[in-house]
Amino acid sequence: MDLTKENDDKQITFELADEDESAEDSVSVDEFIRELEAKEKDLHITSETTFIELESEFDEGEVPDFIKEELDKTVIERAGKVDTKGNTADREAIRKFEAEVKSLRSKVSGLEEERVELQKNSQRRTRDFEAYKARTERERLETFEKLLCNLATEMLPVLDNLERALQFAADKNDTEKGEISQFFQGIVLVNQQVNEVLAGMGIVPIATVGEVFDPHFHEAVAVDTDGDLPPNTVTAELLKGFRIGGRVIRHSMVKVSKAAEPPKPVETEEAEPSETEPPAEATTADQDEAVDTAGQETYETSEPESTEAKADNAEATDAADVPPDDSETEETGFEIERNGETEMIEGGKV
Amino acid sequence: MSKVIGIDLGTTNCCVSVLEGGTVQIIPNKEGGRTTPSVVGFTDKDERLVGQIAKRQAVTNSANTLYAVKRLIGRKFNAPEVEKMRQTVPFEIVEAPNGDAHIKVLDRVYSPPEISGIVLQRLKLAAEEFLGDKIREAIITVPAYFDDMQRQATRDAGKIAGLEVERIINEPTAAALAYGFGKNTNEKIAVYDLGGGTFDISILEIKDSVFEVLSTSGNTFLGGEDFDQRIIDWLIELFKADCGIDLKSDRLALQRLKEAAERAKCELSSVAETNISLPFIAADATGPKHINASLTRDKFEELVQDLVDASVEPCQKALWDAKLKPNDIDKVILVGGQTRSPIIARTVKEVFGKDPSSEINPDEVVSMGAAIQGGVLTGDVKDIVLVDVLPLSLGLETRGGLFVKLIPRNSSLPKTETKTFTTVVDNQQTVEIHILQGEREISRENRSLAKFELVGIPPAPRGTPQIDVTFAIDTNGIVNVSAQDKMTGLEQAMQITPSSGLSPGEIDRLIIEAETSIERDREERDLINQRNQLENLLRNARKAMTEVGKTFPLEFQQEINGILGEAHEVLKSADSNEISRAIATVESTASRITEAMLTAV
Repeated sequence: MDLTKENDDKQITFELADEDESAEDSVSVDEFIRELEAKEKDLHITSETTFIELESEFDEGEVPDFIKEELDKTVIERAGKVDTKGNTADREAIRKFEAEVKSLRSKVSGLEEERVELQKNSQRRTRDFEAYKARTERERLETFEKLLCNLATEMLPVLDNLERALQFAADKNDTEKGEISQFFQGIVLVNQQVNEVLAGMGIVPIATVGEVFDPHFHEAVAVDTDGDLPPNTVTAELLKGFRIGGRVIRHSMVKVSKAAEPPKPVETEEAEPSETEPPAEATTADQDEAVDTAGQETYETSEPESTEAKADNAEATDAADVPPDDSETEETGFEIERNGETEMIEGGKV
Repeated sequence: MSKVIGIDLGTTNCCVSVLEGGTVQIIPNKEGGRTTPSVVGFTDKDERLVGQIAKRQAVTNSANTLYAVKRLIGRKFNAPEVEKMRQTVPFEIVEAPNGDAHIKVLDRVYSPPEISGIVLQRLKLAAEEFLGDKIREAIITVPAYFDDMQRQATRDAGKIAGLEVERIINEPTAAALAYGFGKNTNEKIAVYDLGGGTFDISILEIKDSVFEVLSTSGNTFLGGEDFDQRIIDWLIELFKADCGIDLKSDRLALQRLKEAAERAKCELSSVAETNISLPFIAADATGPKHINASLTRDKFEELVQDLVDASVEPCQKALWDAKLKPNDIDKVILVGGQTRSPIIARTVKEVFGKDPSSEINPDEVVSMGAAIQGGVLTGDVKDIVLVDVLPLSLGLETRGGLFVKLIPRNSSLPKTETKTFTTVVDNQQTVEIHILQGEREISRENRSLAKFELVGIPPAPRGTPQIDVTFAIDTNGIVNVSAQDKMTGLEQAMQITPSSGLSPGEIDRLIIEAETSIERDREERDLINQRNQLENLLRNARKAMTEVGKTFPLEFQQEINGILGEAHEVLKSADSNEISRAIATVESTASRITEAMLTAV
C-alpha cells in the first residue's frame, strides 16, 4: 500500500504505511482469551460447573440451530426412555398453539400498521383532491381569459404588420398616395375597427410614452440618455403592448430614459483598479458598457454567455472538466506544499 | 408529511414540479410559464424582481440585474470560472472576506445563495399558490460535478427561501429517475444535457438502487442560445446582401429576428422546411423592406454543425473517463430544450451507437425526477430506494503533493474508512493532515477542505511510526477526521461541516429578510388587484352612463361624471386605503345609476 516511491524525496512529511495488521490482530486475540479466562476465574467457573436453564426463560428463537438439533435429539431420547407419549403430545399441541398465537399476533400488528398507512394515505388523497378541485375551478375561470389571450397573441403580429403598412403609407404625401388615397382611408378604418373589436373584448393597449417604466407591463429594449424626461420614464414605444384586465397579453417594447451618468473620468478607473474604492466607478463603467451593448445587441445584454460561447468553445471544454473548480484551490494548495516543506525540515532537524 | 416539491435550479431557467396522484405536475409561475428565468433584479425602490419581469427591465438596470448566479455558487473569487464571468456580466462580482465570490448590488453585498434563495422563494410561492397548501420541503438538483461546498450553498439557498431541502440530487440522476430507472435494474446510462447556456454529459451506473456517477464532462459556454444566434446572423447577412441594410443596430428588428429565429428553430425540429416572414422589418428611400426567407433543416444544420461538434468531444472524454465503450451504454437520455433538434439526436446516436430517449419534455425532465424523489420521501413512490452517495472522493495529501483517496466517490453514506500512514523523514515529529475533495491525483487540483497537525510523534526512523487516519462521513455530509499515532495513542481530530461560507446566524437573518420582502410583494400584489377592481368598476359605470346616461337629468349626469372622474385619478395612487375608498364610492355610484335607470323606465 505504500504509494510513495523510494526516491529520497525530502519534501514529504507523510505517506501511506504498509498495512501490517496481522501482528496487532494476534496480540488482541491473545489478550481477548486472557480476559475471558480472568472473567471465568471471577465467576468461579470450572469444568465441573453445571448450568441450569429454566425452560420458561428459554427463547427458542435465539437458539442456534446446532443446539436445537441437539435438544430435539435429547427430547426424542427422553421420550423413548420415559415413555410419556401423552405428555409429549400435549407439549406438541401447546407448542403449536403458541406458534399460532405468535403468527396471529404478528399478522394483527401487520394489519394495524397497514391500516394506519391506508388511513394516512386516504387523508392525504382527500387533501390533494380538495386542493385539486379548488385549482380546477380557478383554472376553469381563467380558461376563457387565457383562450382570448392566446387568440390575441396569435393575431397581434398580423395587426402589427397591418399597422406598419399603414404607417408606411401615411408617411407618403397626397400626390404619392394619388388614386389609392380613398382605398388607404378605408384600410385605416378597417384597422380602427379591429382595435374597437379588441377593446370590446376588454383587450386594451398598454399606455407607454410618458409613463413611468413598469416591468410588469413594459419590456425595456433600449435606454435613452438624451432627453428631458425624468429617469425611468418611457420615451418611445417600439411595439405596442396589450393587456386584458391585469393580465398582459404582450408587453410593450419600449425605450426608457436614463439619467445621464455623472461624467466620471474613465481613466481614473483604469489607473486605479485597486479594491479600495471600486463600487462607484465600476458601476459607472459597467453601466456605460451596458448601454453600449444594449445599443447594439439586445439579446447579448440579457444573456451574455451566448456571445462568449463561440469564442470560448475550445477553452471552455477544458474548463468544464471535472472537477471544474480545480485551480481555485491552486493558491492554497501551493501554500500547503510550502508548509509541508518547512515543517518537514523542522521535523527532520529536531 | 406535506408535499415535497422538486426544483431544477438551472443556470438560465428553473422548473418546479410536484408529484400528485401518482403523476408529476409541472407548476406554472404567476405569469403562466412552465419555466422561470433564473434572473433577479433589484430596483431603487427596494423591490426584488424575479424571472421574466426581471429580464424585461435588465436593459435599463443592468448593473442590478443578476443572472447565471449558479456559476458563482460555492466558488472562490479567484476561480477561473468566476474570472471569466466577471469579464462578461454587467454586475459587480466582489471578493468576500472568506475569499468567496459575492455580488455587489446597490451598495449591498449579496452571497450567491441569497440570490438563488430569492429565486427559490418565488418558485415556492408559485407552488403554494398552485397547490393551495403550505410548502416546506423540497428536493433541489445540482450538476453532478458540484462538490460538497456547492451543494451546501444550494442547501442554504433553499433554507433562506424557507425551504427544508430534504435532498440535493444530481441533475442526471433526476433525469434517469424521471425515465423510470432505478427499479431493480442494473444499467449504464448516458445523460446528454444541452440547456440554454451550458452543456453537460454524465455517465451513470445504476446498481442496486445506487446511482453512481461514473464520469462527467461538458462545456460551460455552449447552449441553445448559440443556435438561435446562428439563425439570426444568417438572416442579417441575407438581408444585408439583399437590401444593403444592416439590421444589427436596429433593436426592434433584432427583437423580431430573435423571436422568428427561435420559432423557426423549434419548427425545424418537426418539419424539414420553415418560412420566416418578417414584413416591414426596415425601410429605406426605395420603400419598405421585408424578410421572407425559407430555412431548410439542412441549411440550419449546416449553420450549427460546429456547435454540435463541440459537444462530441466531451462525450468521448466522459466515456473514456468512465472506462467504457459506446456499446457498454444501455441507454442515452436527452435533457435540455436544444436536444429537440434532430441533428442532436442523430449526433448522439453516432457517438453512442443507439437511439436516445427523448419522450419526456427535456426542459422539465430534471425537475420531474426531483419531484419523484420527493414522492419517495413522502411515501407516494414505493418501488424506488435512493441511496445517498458521496459526490466526489475525500482524501488527503501525501508525499509530493499526491492525493490519496480514503472514501471514493459514489460511496453510499454513512461511511467510515481508515488507512495507516507513516513519516517520510527520520525523526519526523509532526504530520500535517490536509483534507481535500476531488478526483484529481494531484492535491492542489482538488478542493481543500481543512487541515490540522498531529504533533509529538516520538523520534523514530522514517517509515516506522504508524498513524491511523480515519474519515467518517454521515448522511448530512459532515466529515469527522481523526489521526492517531498507534504507538503513543496520541490523537487529533476535527469535524468538517460543509459550509457555503454563511454562518447559521447569517442564514437566520436572511430568512427573516426574505420573509419581509415577500410580505411587501404581497402588499403590492393586493394593490394591483385593487386597482384592477376599481378600473373594472369604472369601465362598467362609464359604459352604463354612455348607454343610458342621456336620459338622466343633466345635474345628475354631471355629478356622476364628476365622481367617476375623481375616482379615475385615484387609479394612479399607491395608497391602498385611498383606492378602497374610491372603490366604495364607485360601487355606490353604480347602484345610484342602476336606481336611476329603473326609475327612468
